[in-house]
Formats: sequence, structure tokens, C-alpha cells
Amino acid sequence: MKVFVTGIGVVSAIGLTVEENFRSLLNKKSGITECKFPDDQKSIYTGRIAKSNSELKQLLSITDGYYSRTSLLGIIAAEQAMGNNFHNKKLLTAFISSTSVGGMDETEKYYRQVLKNLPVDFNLTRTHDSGNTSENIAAYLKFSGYINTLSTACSSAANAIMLAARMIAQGKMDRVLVGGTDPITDFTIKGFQSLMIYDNEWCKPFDHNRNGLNLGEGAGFLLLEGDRSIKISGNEPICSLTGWHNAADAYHQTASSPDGKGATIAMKNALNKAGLETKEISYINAHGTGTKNNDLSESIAIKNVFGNVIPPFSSTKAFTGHTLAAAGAIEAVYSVLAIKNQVHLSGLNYNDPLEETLMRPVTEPTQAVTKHVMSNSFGFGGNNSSLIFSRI
Amino acid sequence: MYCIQSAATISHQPSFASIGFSSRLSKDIGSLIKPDYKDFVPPALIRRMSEILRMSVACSNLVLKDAGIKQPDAIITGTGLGCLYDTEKFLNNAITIEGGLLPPTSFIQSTHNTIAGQISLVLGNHQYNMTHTQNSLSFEHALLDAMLMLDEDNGNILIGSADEVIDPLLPIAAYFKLNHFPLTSGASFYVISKNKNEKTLAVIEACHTSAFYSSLENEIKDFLSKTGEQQIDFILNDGCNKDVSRLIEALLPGKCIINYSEICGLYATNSAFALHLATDIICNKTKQVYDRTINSHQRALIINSLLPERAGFIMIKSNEA
Repeated sequence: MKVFVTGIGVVSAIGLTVEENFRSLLNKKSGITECKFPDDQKSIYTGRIAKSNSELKQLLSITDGYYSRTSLLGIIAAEQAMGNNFHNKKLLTAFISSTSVGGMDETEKYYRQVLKNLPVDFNLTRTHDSGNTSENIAAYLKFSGYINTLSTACSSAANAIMLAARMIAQGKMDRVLVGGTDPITDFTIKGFQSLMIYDNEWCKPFDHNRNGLNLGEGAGFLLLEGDRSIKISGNEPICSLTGWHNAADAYHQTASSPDGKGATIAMKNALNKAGLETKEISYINAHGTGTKNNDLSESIAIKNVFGNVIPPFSSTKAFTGHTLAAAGAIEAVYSVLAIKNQVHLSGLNYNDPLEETLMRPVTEPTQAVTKHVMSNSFGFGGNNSSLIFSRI
Repeated sequence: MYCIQSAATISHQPSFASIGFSSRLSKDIGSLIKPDYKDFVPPALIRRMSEILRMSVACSNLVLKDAGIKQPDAIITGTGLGCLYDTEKFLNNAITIEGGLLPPTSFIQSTHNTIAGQISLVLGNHQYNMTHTQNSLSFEHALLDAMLMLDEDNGNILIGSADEVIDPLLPIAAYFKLNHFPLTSGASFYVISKNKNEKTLAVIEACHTSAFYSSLENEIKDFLSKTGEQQIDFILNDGCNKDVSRLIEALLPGKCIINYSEICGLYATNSAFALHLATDIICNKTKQVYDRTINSHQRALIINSLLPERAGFIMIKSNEA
């Protein structure tokens, strides 16, 4: 059974809507800014969404209850993707989200109270677990039934989209609202700093002088429907999801293998699943975090798969920052936009190619025939996923 | 058909590498009963690993060995709260240590997929590697993914779940009155495959999850109407909610009901313990579990409604059925 994309939603540092995001991508306007965060000692570059939690709640008319920022961002993107679609007893509908840190932003507040011996608000911990972040989004949109969360670090949302596609392809579900969400937290900023892969300036994906990633926050969601669902909903597909694969790199807990083995397997098998030859891929939205390790390993993997005829590729993380679990969904939305608008998206902050591969990313958004777009997402634990979206 | 080819559980009961453990259950939930990890986990890795990783890698290695498989065709895990020990450790450091770099190990090992990732590293396995985390339904969702994978293709799937208790969890659980049973740790792993053979311990007929339903009664009835309520020999129920217990007694009168949280304690993925317990009861024709008598060993139902408005059901049958 075919899997169609009929709805998309995104919130990121470059916009609160799909249109705002797309405009920023075309205008090469990054959402990454320098700010004093988290401890006011050093400035840091992050892709933050300029809305506080209370502003987000107001936007969503949420007046009470405990919500992590993770859920609030997720609700905004999920609501956009769901659009005017209604719940329908005739359609088996699932909700799958993904997150790397769940409600860690609220847990940090609780834990500060604990460590400082202040009166504690135990209710802050209600939102800690990743499952809760999804349940809050699902409940807001009145979902019931199959509600699930995947957490595979930075490839989480790509895996969620893949699971949704598999369920539709096997006829287990008629449609799935699927995506991912992550906020910026002290936990993740200090975590990537501890790994010494946080760039103190703007991240430079696929540049020879790249020095690490910048974190971002946001959420992306897609409404995926099978044939039966389309017949009933009457929705016009934007594109279809034709290829997917997940493979373990099995090399190191955080670093990617020098030969890009897991990434190579993921891309090759996604192509096989879609029944495509390498030359048919019009554009690759790369994982491209801007770390020395990822960009080299990913470049080598792309070479392994595509040989000397490398499709136009870029990383949009220079716009949004690395949004961790959400990245796979936000970039899936960008991939859908690339097909919808027949455009190859560009990266930013690029000057010189990696000397090992000499591969040059797209540096200007380019109008071009865009039939099939590959979107890569690689995570900690050597978790590599590749999706392929195709023009109808 | 989803055949359980092997099963391994580390819990607060003598369950590990212990066929027939269902007849040797301890009445009291003591501390976690750990095997000698160096027999099951590469010794060089043990020191850096938290309990959840040790339990998971040990169980994985045992089930693969028992199933006679070197490389599984997928590694699928579930965890409700993930790698809590490392998460708390890094969170504590991040909040208390000002300036300077923090040691990264606990950050690296804090992600939920450290479990499945670590297993793939130990095995050198390049297959599908997935982590589900939906609090009390994390195991069921991992199992559903494994079943979906078997619907797509043949293979031997390594599927399991794990959760670990840490001290900072205790005041939180007490506040939310999640203390009917002791908070515990546990890991259960299985190899499941489509083909029944001499190794098959039991067969999973169906698994279903549902959240935010309007009535648990209807959810149970729906599951039974799809799977058939004839010949359910015993029921494993989480046992945390008396109303649910009464509802099950009313819907399935006269059935033997075993409350599994009473046996393994409380953790988000303890329904994975229940599946192993059911498997062991069926395989070994265990007659008595605590004060409950089991007369027939063909088919069992596992009901997990550990959290309100969230339910998971698994139907399991004997390999002879």
C-alpha cells in the first residue's frame, strides 16, 4: 500500500508556521542567534524559538495543567499537520511522536528545587517521561487508541515516520499523525559541550573549518495516509513516502564510523525500498550537524552510495540548529517542501569543501526539477535512518 | 504466528537462566537478583555500564544463545523511563557544576536508545535498531513493532524492555501514591520468530494497546472479540487498581487471576516480566503461583493498565495449542 503525505506542520527558530519556515529557507535567514544561555557566563549560539512557555500556552489557549515545552512545541506543529482533518471512526488513526529528552526542561526546574532544598513542586515531574510529552499532544488533539513515542536520539523523528509508514503499508493503520519535538535544555547544551562538539560560533555544516553543532529547538509533524484513508478524507497528497530504512552503525556510542557503514546501509536500503536508482535522487537533505565527525562520515557514506555522481545536497541545520529528535521531522517537512515547490534547499556558512571528499553543498536555493528527495537522520548509539519522499 | 524462541528476565525474583522459575517465586520482593554479569557481558564494558545496560545486555546475550542465533534481524527495545541512573547523574552535574567541562560518559549513556545501541555494539549488529518509550506501554509497543517486522519479513527479532529504579524516584512515587508495590528494576528480552520449531516456548497470538479510551470494559471486550475468549486458562493482571481487578472478574468470571506487580514489583515495563512469567507457567505447566491454582496451561491473557486510561493486552498460547 502506498503512503502519502497530506499534511505538514513545523515550528522552529526560523518560523512558527510552514510558510514562515519556507520563506526563511528561501531568503537564507538563519534562526540561530547569539545569546547568554544557560548560565550567563559565556555567549552561546542556539536556534531558539522566541516565545516563552506562557506565550505558547496562550497561543494554544491552554490555561491549566503541566506541559513541558516539548509538548507545547509539538502541539503547534501537530495541529498544523492535522489541519482540518477530523477524527473519523471509519479510519484507524495512530499518533506517533518522538523526543530525545522528553520533559527534561521541567525536570530541570524540579531538580533545582531539590538540590537547593527549596519547596518542591512534584507535579513538574509528571511531564518528565517521553511518553507524557506525546500524550499531551495527542490529548490536545483528541486522539485516542494507538499513541506511541520513539526515542533514538537525533534520528528519533525519522524513525517515527518510518514506523508510521510501515504500519500504513502493512494495513495496520489507515493514517498516522507523526513527528518529533525537542526543546533546548541545559541538559542537552551541557551534554554536547561535554562532548566538545558544540561550536562557539555559527555552525558550518559540510565546511572544511566546521567546528561542531549549534542546538536548536522545534517540532515537525506530518499526516501520512494510505489509499483507503485518502478515499475517505478526500485529501490531496502533497507527495508520497516511498523509501525508508534504519540501520545500526555498531561502531561507537556517539561517534559515526569513519567508513560511514550504518549510514551507507540506511541510504542504500531506502533506495531499494523505493525501487530507485541513485541517479533518480534529485536532492539530499543531509543530517549535516556541522561536527567534524558527522559531516565527514556522512560525506563518505554518500560517496559510498552515489559514487562520483553526487546529487545536490545541503544541511538545513545551519538555519534551525540541531533540533535533536525533532530534526528528522522538521527536515522531512523541508524535504516535502522541496518537492512541492520544486526547489533544492541550501545550507549556510559554507566556504571550503572537506578536503577528504571535496563535496560542495548547495549554497543558494535553486529552482530545479525535484522528483525524489532523500532525508538523512543519524543519532547517538549509531542509529542511522534514511527516508525518501517522491513527487506524485 | 509470533513464536517465542527464548526468554530471559533479570528481576527481583530468581528468574534469570532459571527454567521453571514460576514455581520457585519468592513471596517477598527482595533486592534485584543479579547474575554474575561477567558471564554474560563483555567484562571490559561492565564497569561503565549502569544496571539497566548490564541487565539488558546480559538478557540479550542469554536469549540469543538459547535461541541458537548469532545475529538477530532486528533489535527492538522498550523503556518507560530510560537510563535513569546516567540521566540523573548528568543532570546533577549540569546543575551543580558551574563552568568547565563535565565528564561526558553519563550524557552519552543517558539517551533511551543507549540500551539497543549498546546491544548492537556488543554484537556488531547492523540491523534495524529501535527504542519505544511510552511509559507503561513501552514494552507492548516494542512488541508490536517486532510483530510488524515479522509480518513484513521472516527473521529472528531480539525484542525486550528494561527499566531501572533510582533513589530520587522514591519521593516522587510516594507523592503520586504509586506505592502499592515496591519500586523495582527489571529487564526481559525475547527472541521471536515466525516459524514454530522445537525451540518454540510459546506463541504470541495478539498484542494491542490503547490510550484515552472511553471505557476499559469495551477495550477488553474488543480485544476478546478479536482473539476469542474461549479457553483463557489464566490471566496476568498488573494488579494496581482494585476497580480494574473487579472489572476483569466480572468480565471473565471464575478465571485464575495473578497480579504480577505483586511478584516483580512496580516498573514501567513490568508487563514484559508478566509475558515471561506466563511463558514459564505454560511451558512448565506450573500448578501454583502464590495462592492461585492453575489447572490448564493452553492460553493466557496479560492485561496491563498500570496507568489509568492506558491499557495493553497480550494473548499468549502454548506451542501445542
